[in-house]
Amino acid sequence: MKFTKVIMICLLFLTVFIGKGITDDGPAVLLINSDATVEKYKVTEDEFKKTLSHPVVEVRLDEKRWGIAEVEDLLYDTPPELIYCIGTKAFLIANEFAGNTNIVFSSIINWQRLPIMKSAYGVSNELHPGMQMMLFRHIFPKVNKIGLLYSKKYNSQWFENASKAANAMGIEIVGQPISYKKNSVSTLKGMLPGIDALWLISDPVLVCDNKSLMAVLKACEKNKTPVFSYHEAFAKYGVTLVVSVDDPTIGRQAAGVALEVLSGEKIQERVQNPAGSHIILNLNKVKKYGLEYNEDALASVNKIID
Amino acid sequence: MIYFYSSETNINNYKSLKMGFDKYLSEFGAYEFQPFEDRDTFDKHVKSKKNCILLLSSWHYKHIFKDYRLRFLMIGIRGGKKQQQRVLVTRDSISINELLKGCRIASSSSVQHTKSVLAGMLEKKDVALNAKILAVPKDIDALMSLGFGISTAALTTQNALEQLKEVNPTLYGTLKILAEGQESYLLVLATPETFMDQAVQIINVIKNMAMHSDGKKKMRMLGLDGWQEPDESDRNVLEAK
Repeated sequence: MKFTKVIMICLLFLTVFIGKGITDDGPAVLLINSDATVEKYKVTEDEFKKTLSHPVVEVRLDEKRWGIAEVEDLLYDTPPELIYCIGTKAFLIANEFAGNTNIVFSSIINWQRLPIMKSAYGVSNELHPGMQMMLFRHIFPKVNKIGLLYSKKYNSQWFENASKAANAMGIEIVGQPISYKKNSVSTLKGMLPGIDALWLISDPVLVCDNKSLMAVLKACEKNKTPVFSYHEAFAKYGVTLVVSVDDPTIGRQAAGVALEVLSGEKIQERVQNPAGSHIILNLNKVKKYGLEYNEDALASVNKIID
Repeated sequence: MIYFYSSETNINNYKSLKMGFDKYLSEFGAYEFQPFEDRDTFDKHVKSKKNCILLLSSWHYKHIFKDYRLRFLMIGIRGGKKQQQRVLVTRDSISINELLKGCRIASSSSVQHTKSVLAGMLEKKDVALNAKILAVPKDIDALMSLGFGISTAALTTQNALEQLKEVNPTLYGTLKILAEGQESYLLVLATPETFMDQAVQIINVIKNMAMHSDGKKKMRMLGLDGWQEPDESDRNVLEAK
């Protein structure tokens, strides 16, 4: 049984690797995609391959033929020069079995929680808070006081960094810590009269379920306070502005890091911030709340809800 | 049909552009706006089209107008100017030659166009071919990537620098202009030579967009606030032999 499995792995390897002509054209890059049916992962993968200009062998974990054991065997039998992992699942498998092979990762939410080896490099999935604030200011120049609810347990450091970045731009972050979901709305209501907008951040206490999220949005709606958020999923809930990462840029950045690693260049920063933004602006809310916005910034907006 | 592609500007709001322009233009006739995400697809698609309007960068126009037998009829303007100047900015004490030896340069233009602009800024033009370019979606992204340490330099425009001055004066104050490019025209509006006479009506609709509040907003999505008819000197520059 085991012998048959080894033969199958070898055949699979020959099909995939030789079929791509990898032996002649350059270093072997193994790309592991956690789920290529997810659009954002697919876009990132496509842009990575387009930018890299080296042969890439793909492992798509959503395909039945790729279980953990098969990936382990592939990595053990023919370790590539570099593994590019898209998403957490891909990274965890590669991290487990990669040995000394260099890893480049991307599209991982909160990468800091994962075990990162010395041979791992990546592109973070979260825009620097300072970049988000610059874009808030670009679109809404009159917004000066931004409210923020956060849990000290998860986002204390993030809050400090965001406050520093805000000060440099003349923006005041009005932050209130919350410890459990039930006090988020009452804390928010006390904060609303003194802020120009609420910044909904990725916080497991604040955004713990649909009900508490809706309660927060409803309180803001009642007060005509715009909500700025970090993920396009919130657009359908009526937030005014979404500033998120641009997935194609992440793919290009990851390819840039991979090229630097492969050519033996010194890597300045192990994990880069994403360089590209994706902006959704809800002009219906802007009109409804009577907000002033910068029309010149419309060329920077990817999607306008009007 | 109005076809749009820009290799030069930071426009990637294609869905909103299509929806916005289609809605606006439908009030004036059966016009349709079709934006393209990449140059090859745009070039292949429009090559055989005879009855259409093209919105494209002046750099792109210069490359294809002879082969495609095009004529440009209007030039986009922003802040009263029909030209923009590219600038290469950094925060470090570094020469342009050192920069091009492996430092990352962020740019919202296509890699091909960015290298072409860099070559225009240099004496040794071939050095620009090896520049390490990080293509980002918007000019403000290029400047932010410089500000937050993702790239060593950014290729942007004077106009984007002016916007940065408003958004983040602290960051603006730390930037140094390393090189300046020649002024280049903004978007141009062109048609196949054989369609010029029939295009008058739609050209007028587009020309007058800036006079309507909704049309003005759509123009802003292209990074423009109006159109200007070209004079002889514009034609000499854009259609130089």
